[in-house]
Amino acid sequence: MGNPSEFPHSVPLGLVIPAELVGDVVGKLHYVSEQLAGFRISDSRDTVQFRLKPGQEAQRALVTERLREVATKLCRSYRSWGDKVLVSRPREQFACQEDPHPALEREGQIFRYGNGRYGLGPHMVALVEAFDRQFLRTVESFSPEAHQFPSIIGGDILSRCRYIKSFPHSLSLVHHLREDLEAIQGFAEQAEWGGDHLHVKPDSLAPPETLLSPTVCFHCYAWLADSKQTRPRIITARGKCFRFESGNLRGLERLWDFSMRELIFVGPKEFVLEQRQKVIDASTQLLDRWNLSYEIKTATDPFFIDDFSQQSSFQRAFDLKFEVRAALPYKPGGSVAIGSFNIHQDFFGRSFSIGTIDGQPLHTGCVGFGLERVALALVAQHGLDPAGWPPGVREDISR
Amino acid sequence: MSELEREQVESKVRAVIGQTFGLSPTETAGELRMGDPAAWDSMGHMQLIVGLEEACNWSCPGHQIAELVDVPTIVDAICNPSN
Repeated sequence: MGNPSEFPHSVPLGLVIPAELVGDVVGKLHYVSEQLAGFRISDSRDTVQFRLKPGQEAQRALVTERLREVATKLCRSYRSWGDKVLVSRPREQFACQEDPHPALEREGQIFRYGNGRYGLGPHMVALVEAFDRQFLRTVESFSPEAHQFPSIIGGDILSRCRYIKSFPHSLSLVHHLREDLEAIQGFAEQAEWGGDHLHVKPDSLAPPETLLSPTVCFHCYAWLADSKQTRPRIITARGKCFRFESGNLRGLERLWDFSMRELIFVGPKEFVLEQRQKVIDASTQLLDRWNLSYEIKTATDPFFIDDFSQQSSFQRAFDLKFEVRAALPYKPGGSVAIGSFNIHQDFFGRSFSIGTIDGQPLHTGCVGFGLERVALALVAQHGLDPAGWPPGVREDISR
Repeated sequence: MSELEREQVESKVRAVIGQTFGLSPTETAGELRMGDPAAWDSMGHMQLIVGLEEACNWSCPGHQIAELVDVPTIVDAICNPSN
């Protein structure tokens, strides 16, 4: 039971949250209300206990209703699947058991700028760069075309692929000021940092045209939009990605702003499926070379509440997503997704009108590695001292 | 299950597909499979499964969802729920 003084309010949900769904439900409850100060799901998984911010008791009924709504929608039509594990590299003993974040901060290897925003020091940069270089070497035989994409992405692109509807909670909008002398001068005069946010007059802002890009591959599909492809394509790019994750943001485990290396496939269904399997095999060799403990297993994307049940069921049913989950020894039984292998079927082919010569929508797939998370997993499992890192890692850093 | 019962199930399946994707009776009578009509995409597929479960008082096992991509397969699954 939660301490009543910590969580004075309770919401009986009228259902028991399936154990496999607890993480998804907790992840979404952060978005229920700005007045929610904290919450927990009861051990019996049938109640949410919560507390409100001071002076917000009038919001209790509304928050209660929303907590129940979110839990009900996420659990509706839930099917128990069981994980399909493709690769498993368990380990009993780790060189390190402690959360590396405090030591990384002390030693100047990470610097926290704010919620979900971290800078990296030399050792962490060396890991990020070495993994990225080695991944590119690993997939050299695919002869990928190298691309570079912007960090901001048009709202039209995100709208075209339904991202705005399926993941509204993680959007980061980009504003510039209205091209209006009075608005700009007024903004410069009045805007000020208010302790935790910038005070601005909303009417000085131009309507958002762009957002911070949540992923790399959308730019690729927009590049190929309204085209007929005469041959399969394999493209690679590294980019900054941005996903606002509210109370779920936590150290390097979950950043608002992170770096991702992607390999993207566009072609017939069989081609995309075959490439994904080849990259899974190649990535396994790299992860083993880095002596990481991990699993590659089925997963789903964090769709928002209304799309969650159906979209995640669809992903599971068709084995569309596999994640590399690296062990985090400082969290018993815990892990972090450092990469994923995704099939989109013809979703992006249809959404962006990318077709064959005879007009059939092409299939797509992508593989992505979150580079800061790879670095975190490595130091969490092998410690902060480069001398103690696996030989494969040290070799890749020096190459 | 008799041939007549199977036809009744097929008729119900076609009706649910038509209702889910807003098809005319003529379109509903034709060949239907995932991707054709276009609205039968990933979101549409799960809406269809849920609709079929409700209309046919049937529970679709997770492992079968990916296989149910055309009318004959769906009818088979509903008529032989143990498969």
